Amino acid sequence: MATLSEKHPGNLRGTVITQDDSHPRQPPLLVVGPLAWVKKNLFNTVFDSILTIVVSIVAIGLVSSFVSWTVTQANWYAINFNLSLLALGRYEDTAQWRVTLVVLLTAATIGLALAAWARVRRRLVIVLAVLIALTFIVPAVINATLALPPFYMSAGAVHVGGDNGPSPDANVAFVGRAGEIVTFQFATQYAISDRELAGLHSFTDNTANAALNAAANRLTAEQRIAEIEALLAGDTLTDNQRSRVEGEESRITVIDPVTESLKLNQAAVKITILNGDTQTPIEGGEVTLEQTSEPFSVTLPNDGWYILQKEVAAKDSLALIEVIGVYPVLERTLVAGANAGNSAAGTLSEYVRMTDLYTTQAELPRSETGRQFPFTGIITNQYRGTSTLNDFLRLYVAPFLNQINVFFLVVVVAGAVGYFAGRAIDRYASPPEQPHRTTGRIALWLLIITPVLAFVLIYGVTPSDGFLPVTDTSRWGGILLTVLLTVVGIIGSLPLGILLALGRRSKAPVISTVCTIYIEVIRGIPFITVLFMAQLLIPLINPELSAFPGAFRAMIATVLFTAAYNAEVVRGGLQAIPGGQEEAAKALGLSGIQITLFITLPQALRLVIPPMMGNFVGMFKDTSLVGQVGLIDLLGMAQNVYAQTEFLGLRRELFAFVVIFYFVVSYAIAAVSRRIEASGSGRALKMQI
Amino acid sequence: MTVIPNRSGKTSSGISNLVPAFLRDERVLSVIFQLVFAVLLVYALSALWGSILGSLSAKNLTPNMNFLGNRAGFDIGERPEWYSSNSSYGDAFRVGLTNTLRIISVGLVLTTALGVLAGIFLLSSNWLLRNLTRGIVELLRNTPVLVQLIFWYAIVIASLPEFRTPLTLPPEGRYIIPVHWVIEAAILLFVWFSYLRREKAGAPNRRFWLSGLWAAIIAIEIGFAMLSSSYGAASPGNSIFLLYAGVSIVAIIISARFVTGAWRWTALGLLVGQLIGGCVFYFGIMPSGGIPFEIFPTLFISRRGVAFPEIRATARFADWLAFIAVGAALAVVAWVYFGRVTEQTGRPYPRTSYAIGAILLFAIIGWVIVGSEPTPATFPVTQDGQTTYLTVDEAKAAGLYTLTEEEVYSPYPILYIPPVQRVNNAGIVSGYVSGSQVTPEYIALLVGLVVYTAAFIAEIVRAGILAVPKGQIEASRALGFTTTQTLSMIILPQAMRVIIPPLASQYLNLAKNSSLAIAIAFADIFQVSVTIMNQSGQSVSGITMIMLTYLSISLIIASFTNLANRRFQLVTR
Repeated sequence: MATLSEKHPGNLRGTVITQDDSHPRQPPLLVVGPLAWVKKNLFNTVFDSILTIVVSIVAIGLVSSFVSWTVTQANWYAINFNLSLLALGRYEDTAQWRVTLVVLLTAATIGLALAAWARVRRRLVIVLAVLIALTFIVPAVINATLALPPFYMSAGAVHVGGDNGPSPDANVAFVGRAGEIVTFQFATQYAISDRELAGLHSFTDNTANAALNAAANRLTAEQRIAEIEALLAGDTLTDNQRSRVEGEESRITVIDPVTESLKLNQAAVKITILNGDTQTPIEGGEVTLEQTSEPFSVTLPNDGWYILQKEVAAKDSLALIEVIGVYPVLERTLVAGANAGNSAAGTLSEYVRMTDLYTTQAELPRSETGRQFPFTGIITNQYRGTSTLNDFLRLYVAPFLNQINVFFLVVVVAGAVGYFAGRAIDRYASPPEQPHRTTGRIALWLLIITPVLAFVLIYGVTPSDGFLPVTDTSRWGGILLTVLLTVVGIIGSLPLGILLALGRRSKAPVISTVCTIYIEVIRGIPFITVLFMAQLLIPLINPELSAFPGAFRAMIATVLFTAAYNAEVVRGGLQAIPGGQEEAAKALGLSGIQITLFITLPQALRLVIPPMMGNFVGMFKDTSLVGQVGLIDLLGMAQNVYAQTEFLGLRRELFAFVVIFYFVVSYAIAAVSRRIEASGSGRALKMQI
Repeated sequence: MTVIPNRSGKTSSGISNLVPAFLRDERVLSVIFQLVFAVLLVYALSALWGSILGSLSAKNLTPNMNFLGNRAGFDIGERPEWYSSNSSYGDAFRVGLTNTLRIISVGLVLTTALGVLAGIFLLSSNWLLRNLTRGIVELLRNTPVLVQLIFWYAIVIASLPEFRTPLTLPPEGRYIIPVHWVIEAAILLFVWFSYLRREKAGAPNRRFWLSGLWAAIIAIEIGFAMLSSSYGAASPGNSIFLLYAGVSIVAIIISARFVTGAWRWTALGLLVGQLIGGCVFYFGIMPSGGIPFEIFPTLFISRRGVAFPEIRATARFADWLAFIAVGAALAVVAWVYFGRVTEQTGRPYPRTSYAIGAILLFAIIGWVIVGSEPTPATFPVTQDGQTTYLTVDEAKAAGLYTLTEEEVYSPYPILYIPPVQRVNNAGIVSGYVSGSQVTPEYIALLVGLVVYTAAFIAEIVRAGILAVPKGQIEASRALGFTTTQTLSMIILPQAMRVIIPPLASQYLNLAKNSSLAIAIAFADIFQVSVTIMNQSGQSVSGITMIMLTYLSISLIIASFTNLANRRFQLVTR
């Protein structure tokens, strides 16, 4: 015990601890542990408790309604189908490899820069690997375990909802693939009464949809009348409300039960499947479905179009058939040929199956009169009603992940290649006392070269028959345009901003006045004004400039606008440099330009990295304004998509996509900026990601 | 040769002596350089201006301001009554300016209130509130304001109820306050005040009884509601009661024996209340009936906008205003006087309450005096060229007593006109008879700008409050300041110093972002000007006017915030 006594003067041997340690007592419930945390942070006072309850009700309501909308109501096909449109706009299909190349180059550059100036934590690597693996595993598991929802198709010569209502097509063309099995049976469970019919949710054709809407409306009307009766019987209505409610009741009409008036599923249906090319029945493709008959299956022989003929024996009966293996398709018009400007190019249609994005360019079959058959297009045949979690995963999540996973993997691999290249250079090519010097220099050069190279690649250099034909800037759009505007804005506005800041601080009154006026005027007017000025005034300067692309005009406006804000930030940084630095440099005999270039400016720029990043985030968000001057950036593309007939009114889905994109990018930039700030303004070497 | 250092400390030894001395003087060089710069700049600008002018005059569109007198020919969705498509471009411009100012002025007030509230939420000790606010603020700050505006306009407002069946606030209907609520509230108030009195008298305060009473009343209500919803109306002889009462009594005994500490009275109160609730139900002694009252809506919210009450001044308003002016003058005198007294003697006076009280007192006195002036028994009505004299009741019966008459003959200085729906013969709502309305575009723009800017203000407020050293707050507590006093006298004045400069820049942002109205077709100055430019071709004049307008708005806001800034800055010697 000698050592102990040396450390703790005062004899320990005399101290007797009388606590009975054989039964260690639990700490008090409300002092430590999760319950204590809950009490302290959520239920500290009565007011706090009430606040917690109210806020949690609001939060749960918000989150649950959003989740339930996402899963059960949203039609994410609008995103799945238009992903390339939202990403690249109408950028030429033949030039899309250039964008991919640019993305890979950027990823590699970022990887190299990370190797030079930061350290990648193992956690990030694991998270990325798991994410990529999930994007491959999840869709595979979903497709293997979950069945696609059935298609409810109508047949017969009946109009639903009066003579002008929809009536089923006798022949419908659909896309099938070799080996796929198509199954038919009567949808008996939905033909019992209106309540069952109204509960149907899956793919439906126009007529079936009208029938189930009619059933649902009838039920709603009945329910509303019951509600009104209850209201009128009670005494909670003011006289005003009473008369209004009575008026409403008199206007409600309840139609006859839909299942009965349509004689749903009361007659046999003759079904024939024809090959789209030969228009002859395929093998085993003819059957007459009776009420009692077993489900009827047929295997499709080859890829391409098929024609489904359906005929009901009784004239006044509507049949509702459950079909598995037939799905809606969407027609997409392509401009043939590499260049849209090529007038000789014809248009051709391709057809995309909604469930798995299988695309065929086979021509739609025509009847003897030369008319195209109606096909299971998604305007008249859509997923309606409320989807279940199964359908949400199978219809939307799996195809979405299947679309992005390869790209995601390749980008991360490119980043990793850059990173490991950087590490290798560190090890073999840098002097041991400065292990990051060579990599740092290469990264710096790449950071300067890559954007230029990217711009050249995306814009093109040669005439239309060369290796890199110049692309049509009016076809730039979506995320591509947003990112291009941002990158050009950053690269252009930074030097201009520095010049303006130096000019404003200049001792020469003319220069400082001019710079100050420029900065203050630009900061006093909205960005959209500058955009409009660029759009309106550039053609006025020289009539030849009216051919100057709108995208470039917007870039000029972005640079001119952001430079004024950057100038103020840089000026703040310059002001924060202690005067002693400049005096010391003067004492050492440095000239004014040398002082600025080597002493004050580098220090000032390091100081202002965080606010500068803030400016760039602001500019990134502001690029959404270019939609107002006729360019189609991500927001404009989303608006274009929900104006199309196929996706009419699917605003929420597209807005969710846009909001997520902007939020993720802005938040990521802000997070990096915070990290740089935390690691000591601009000392990026310490940074860990 | 001796080395002569010049002003910048450089030596002139290396410079050729061929250059005359004055050209080596930095001051001269600077002047020459600036002259060259100025000449080049003027030349570039004049060349630019010349080519713009040239191409404009080639189109016969030399920039001028005469076009403002031409007929506009387009209608504006958001317009005062005097504007029509026959008005001039200048008038259209004025309408746009008014709309912009309407957005900015209301928006600045609302966004400040919302931003400060959210900033306080960001500092709340309640984990849930703090983090929920943090999440919402981050979401708002990191998405473009244009996306948010279109979101509010195309999604939120478009999902509001239809015009014919608007959402009404407060919910219209006939309500009944049950008598037992009134009795319970009376008991609670009585007990509460008797405790307060005893506390003042120095008796030990046992407020925990009150928590027991609260719990008991809640339990009675819940128990009664549950039993009556399960078994219908009170029905003596229900056998379930015996079980219910037995369990309750056992639970009371157990909790009286074992529950200790702060929750004892609450638990006992809950259980006893539960028992009483059962008894009340069993014996059917819950007083039935209640006090009925009707609520009429003051807000109609639909996807075609919001209708809200209008407040109009009547002919007697000026008289009432005179009373208020006297009250206000008195309030100023009281404020200054009691401020001086406090300064000299150190005795605190609630001078703010005095001032508000003076104004309120005179407003009430004025209301009574002005309202007591008798109204004429009859008033003239001109119909078909003939003037007849009618009493108010007769005119009302004949439908001739409209708002215009009421403005003149009402006994009150102010008219409160709630919105009333106009219902056509088919019983369908077709509009509003009275009240004011705003368009959905206005609401979307206002809400979008306010919410977006408030997210930034919240961060500013949070940072400002955090910038106050903790020692200041601890010191004020040690001096016996209450929470309110600490907030209003210690934290806020110091936080304001940090808050105001970035707040001013957010105010400017709100003003500038109001130009995004063009995306949702709200007729602000920018949207109207773009229409004018497209129609008249006067793009240079139009852009100049837009720029001047926004620059002046920015200047006005900046001068106000600079004033505020000066007021709060630390006074140093």
